[in-house]
Amino acid sequence: MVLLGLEVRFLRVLREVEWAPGEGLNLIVGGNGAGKTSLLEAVFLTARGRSFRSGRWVDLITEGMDAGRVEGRYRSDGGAFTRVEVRQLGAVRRMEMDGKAVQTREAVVRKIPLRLLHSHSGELILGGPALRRSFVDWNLFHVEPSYPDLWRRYRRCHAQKSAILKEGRGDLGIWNRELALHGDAMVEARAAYVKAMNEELTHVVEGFGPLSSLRVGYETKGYSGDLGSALDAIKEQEWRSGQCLVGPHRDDLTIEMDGHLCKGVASAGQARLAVAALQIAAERIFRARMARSSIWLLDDLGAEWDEQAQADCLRGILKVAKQCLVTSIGRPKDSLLRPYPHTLFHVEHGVLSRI
Amino acid sequence: MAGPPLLDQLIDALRCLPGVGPKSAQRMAFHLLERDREGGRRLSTLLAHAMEAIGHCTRCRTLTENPVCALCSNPKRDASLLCVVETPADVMAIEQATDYRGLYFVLGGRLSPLDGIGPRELGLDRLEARLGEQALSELILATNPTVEGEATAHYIHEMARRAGVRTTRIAHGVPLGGALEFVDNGTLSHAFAGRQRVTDD
Repeated sequence: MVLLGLEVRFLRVLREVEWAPGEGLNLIVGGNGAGKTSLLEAVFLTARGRSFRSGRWVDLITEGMDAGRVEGRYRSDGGAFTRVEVRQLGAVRRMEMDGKAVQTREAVVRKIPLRLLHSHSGELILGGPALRRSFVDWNLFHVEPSYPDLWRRYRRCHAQKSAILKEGRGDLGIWNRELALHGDAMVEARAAYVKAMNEELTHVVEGFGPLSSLRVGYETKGYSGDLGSALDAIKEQEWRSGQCLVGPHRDDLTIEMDGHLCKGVASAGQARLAVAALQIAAERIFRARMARSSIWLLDDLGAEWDEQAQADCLRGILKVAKQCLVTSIGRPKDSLLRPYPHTLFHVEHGVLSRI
Repeated sequence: MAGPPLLDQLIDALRCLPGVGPKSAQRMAFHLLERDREGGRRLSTLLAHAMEAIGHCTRCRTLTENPVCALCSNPKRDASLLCVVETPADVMAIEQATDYRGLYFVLGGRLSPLDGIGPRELGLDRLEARLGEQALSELILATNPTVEGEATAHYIHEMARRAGVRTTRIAHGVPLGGALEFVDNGTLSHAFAGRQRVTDD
């Protein structure tokens, strides 16, 4: 997937931008608050229908204006064109894909695969398990056609069972049966995905310095074996606590280097580089199974990374990506960019120009 | 005492229909008043009458104006077969599409603790009584293949098992005229698991 063109009107500091990034590496250089991240945010908005920055929707609109608009034009690997437009009027957001109103964001997400690494991406390793579960789930969503349905059924079932536990009475058995059915299938899919990821990781992390021993595992929390027996065994405890205590909604990934959990031993920079490696491994699976490729957004190349880490990451990404949009506060050394076809841009006070 | 004008009340009342918003309700009201008063009068009498006269069948819980519906009181129907469905609309669908000659039991929903719908709300006590009193050769579970529909089917299956009644579940699978490669995995795996022996006739 390639972003051919981006049009922005009144999004944060970007008052009017027209951008035609090239294939390969696109580097956007600019000082703090110049609008680099907002540019990536605009791209992200057209691919996901939401922002990766926190805050209220209405804050996306340039101060003093009452509406903002972003349009992204994409070309798929098969050569098909897609146009996505997002309009923000006050707190109301409207999204159109190829001229039709978007009902669910899922359709857009499926159409425009995109991977993002920002300055806090290390959280995937250093933060809580929910982030890691959603990392696997999103990747499975793109490569396993039956997974979204499985996931929705499990969630629905989980909500029904939670209602019973909250109420304190009802028949747990029938819901446990459905939970076990979908939960076991989910765990199986996730574990198989993690296994495939490890195979890809060995190719990715060669030469990633201390991360060359990076491994991922899938951990069922609080049980082993089949979910049905675990749910039976824990019934009493669940009644007492009023919560669903075991199942894929509680599981976690173990991400290790040198046989230790990264969470305990990795520095912030190593954690962020490890996440880059995981994303690259996931992209390799996506490419191999779906014969498609994602657009990569890398916000703040220099955050927590020395030159070696920056070079490792760019090399890894550009081996699998057709297009990578990177921001940086300063202009990196030529030696970092030289190996790749690249285009340089400069942004200042929300105005973008080609260098 | 001046409430809102009658016209506004009518438009507001029409919005109780499913899928009818303010715009459609307004169009309906204007249409009846400007172009089809006769149709409007007929609708209002029938609505008033139906709301009072139509109730639920005491046997199968489907909609009927009699204590027992036409299906349940038809002696030609096979009383040893009972088909459990979620709504009266499902009864109609099966009647129109199949040559099923047995009787029905209408749940009026499916188990959903989130909405406070349990076995009692679905009349399962009545179904259980019926399983005990009647000699059934087969109980057909025709609830929807949603999470709730499956859970409901399983609940009733357990109930029937205790009563010693054989249950079957309707098959879910490949739509006729559909191509295998376009069927979603869930449906295809259901269809595959429920495959049938090819018979020589």
